[in-house]
Amino acid sequence: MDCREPPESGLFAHAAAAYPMKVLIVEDERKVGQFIERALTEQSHTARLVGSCAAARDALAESAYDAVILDLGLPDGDGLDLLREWRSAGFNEPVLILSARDEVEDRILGLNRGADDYLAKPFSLEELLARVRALLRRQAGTKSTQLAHGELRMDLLARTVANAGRPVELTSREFALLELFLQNRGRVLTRTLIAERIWEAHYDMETNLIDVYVRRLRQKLGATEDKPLIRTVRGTGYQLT
Amino acid sequence: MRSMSRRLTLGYALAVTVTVVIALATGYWLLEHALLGNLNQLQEAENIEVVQDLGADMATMPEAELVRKLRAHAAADEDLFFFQVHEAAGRVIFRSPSLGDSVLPDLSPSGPSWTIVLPPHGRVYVSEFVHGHLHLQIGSRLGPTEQLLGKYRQVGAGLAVAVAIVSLGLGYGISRLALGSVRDIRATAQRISAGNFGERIPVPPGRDEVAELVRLLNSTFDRLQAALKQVRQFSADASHELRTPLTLVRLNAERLRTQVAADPEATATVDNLFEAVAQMNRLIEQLLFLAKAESGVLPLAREAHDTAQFITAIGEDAAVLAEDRGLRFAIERNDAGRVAFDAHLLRQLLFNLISNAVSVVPAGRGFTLASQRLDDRWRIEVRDEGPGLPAGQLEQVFERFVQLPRPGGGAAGGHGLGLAISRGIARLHGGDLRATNRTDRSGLVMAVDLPAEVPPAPART
Repeated sequence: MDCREPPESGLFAHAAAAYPMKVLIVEDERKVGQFIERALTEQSHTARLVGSCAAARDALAESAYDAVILDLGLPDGDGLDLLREWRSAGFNEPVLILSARDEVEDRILGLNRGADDYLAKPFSLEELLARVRALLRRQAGTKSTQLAHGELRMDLLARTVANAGRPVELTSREFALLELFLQNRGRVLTRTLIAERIWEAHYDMETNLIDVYVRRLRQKLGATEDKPLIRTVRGTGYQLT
Repeated sequence: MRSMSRRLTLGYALAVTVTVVIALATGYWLLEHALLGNLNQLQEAENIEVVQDLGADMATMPEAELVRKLRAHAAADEDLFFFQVHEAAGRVIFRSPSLGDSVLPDLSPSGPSWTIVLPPHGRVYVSEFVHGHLHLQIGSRLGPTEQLLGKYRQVGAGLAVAVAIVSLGLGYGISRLALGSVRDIRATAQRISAGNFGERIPVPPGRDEVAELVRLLNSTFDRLQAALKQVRQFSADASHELRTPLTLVRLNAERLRTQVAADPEATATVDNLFEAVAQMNRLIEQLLFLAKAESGVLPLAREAHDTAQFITAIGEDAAVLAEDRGLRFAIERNDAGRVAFDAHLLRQLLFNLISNAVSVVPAGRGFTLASQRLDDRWRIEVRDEGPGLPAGQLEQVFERFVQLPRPGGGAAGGHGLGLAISRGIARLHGGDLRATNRTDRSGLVMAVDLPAEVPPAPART
C-alpha cells in the first residue's frame, strides 16, 4: 500500500517534545544505548547512558530522572534486582524494561517488580519513544472519556463511535483497536504493540489478523485510497492520520 | 494415597483381629479339652470308689445285693453323677434314681467315653467301665461345663470385636504416622514440579527407608534443577546474543529510512530489511520456544477458564480472517465447561491452526471450529475443506522445518515451525495435537486434546 512517507513525519523529525524530560538509559550494549540516547536528545529530551548496575545506582543517587529505560542483562547484575531495589527505596518514576528475553514469564516478573512497560528486542525506536511518552502521560493522569480525530468521535463510557455525525457499528475488537489508535494519534503503532494490547499476544500471531482488522476499520469509517485514515507503515505497523 | 492408608489400616486391623480370634479359639479348644479331661478323671475316681464300696467280687455278687449296694452308693453321689449298670449282652440291671425315666445308651463300641443328649438332663458325658460281665456307666451333666464355655465364648466374642475396633483405630494411627512422611514428600515434590525448582523435601531424622528415599529424590531434584538452569541460561544467552545484533540492524535501518525517505527505491530496500529482521526474530523466538518447551523449562500459567467463552472469542477472529479471504466459517459445536489452561499459549496454538486452515482452503469453501467435552478430555477441532494430506504426511507435518503443502504448490510464509510449536503447547498441557484426514469429504482435521480437569492452582512465584 502506502510505502512512501512524507519527510516531515519521519522518525526523528518530530516536533520538539512538549514536555522535555530527563531519561536514564541503562543499557550495556553501547551502540544500542547510543541510538536511544540520540533519538531522545533529538526530541529535546535529556538522556544519560550508563552501562552497568553500579553506574545506574550512582546516576540515580546523583540526580533525579523522569523515566528510566532499563536493560535486564547487565554485566554486573540483573536489571530486575536493580528495579526491585529502586522500588523498595521509593523511586516512583516510570521504568520501561528493554530486554532480549521475551518470555511471558519474564514480562510478568518485570511488571510485578514494578516496571511500567516491557519492550522486547529487537524493537523499533519509534515504538520505544511512543511508549516512553505514553508512560509519562499516564503519569500525568490525563485520560479523557471522549476521543476525537477529525470527524471521528468516540465515547469510551457509552462505547459508541460516530463518524461525521453518523453512528458506526463496531465489534468489541474493532472498538478496542480504534481506541488504541485514537489514544496514540499520529504515532506509529507496531504490530507487536497492537497484538500485545488487543490480543494480549506476546508472540507473532502468524496471521494477517491485524491487517484484516485495520482494513475492516477503514471500510467502516469510510476511508478511501487517498485518504486512508489509518496509514500503513511498511515493515512496522500503522498510524492514524 | 488415600487408598494406601485405607489398605494399611484394614490390613493391620485384620491381622490383629485374626490373630486374637485364633488365640481365643485355641484357648477355647484347650479349655474344653481340659474340662472334659477333668470330668473323665472324676468319673474314673468315682469308678474306683464304686469298686471299693462294692468290693472286688462285684461281678459275682447276687443281683439284688448288687442293686442295693449300688443304690446306696448312688444316693451319696447323686448330685454329681448318673449311674447305670448293664450286662455285656445289654440288659440294664441298675439305673440311679436321678436318671428318672432316661436310659443311658450303650455306645461303648465307639470308645470308652462319649457325649449324648439325654432329655431332660441336657448333654451328658458318659464313661463306661467294664467289670467282668458288668458294664458300669457313669454320666456327668455337661451343663455347668457348657455354661463356663458359653461364658468364655461370650467374653471371647466381645474381646474379638473390641480388638477389631481398637486395631482399626490403631491401624489408622499407624498408617497416618507411616504415610505422613510420604504425604509430605508428595506435597513438596508436587510444588517442585509445579515450578518451585529451588525447594527441597526436608530429610527426616534417622537413616530409615523414608530418609533414604528423600535423599535420593532430593539429589534427583538437584540434578534436574541444574539441567533446567543450564537450559534457561543457554536460552537466555542465545536470545541475547542473537537479538542484540538484530536490534542494531533494525535501529540502523530505522535511521537509514528517515535519511532516504525521499528516495522510494531506497526506502523499499530498507523496508525489505525490516521484514528480514522481523522474520529472523520470529525464527529465533520459535526455535527458543521449541527448545524450552521440549526441555520442560517453559512455565505454564494455567488458570481455569470458561471454554465456551474462550472458543467464542477465537471464533470471532477466525470469522474475520475467513471473511477476508472469502471463506465460510462456523463454530460447529461449543460445549460449556471450565478447564485450566494457559490462555496465551492455547490462543497461539489455535491461531496457528486457523491460519493454516485459512491458507489451504480454496475460496468459496470453509473451515469450522468445534469444542467438545469428552469425559476427562477437552477436544478442540479445526476442520477444513482443503485438500487434506497424503497419509504419510499426517505425522510429518509436526516435524520442524516441514512446511504444509499449499494449494498450487506455493510455499508457506513461515519457517515450518508453527505446527511443531503447536504440538509442543498441547503436550506441555499434558495433551496432544493430531492431524487426520476427513472421512466425509476432502479436508484436514486438526484435533487438540487436553486434559479437562481443573487442578488446584499451583502457587506461582
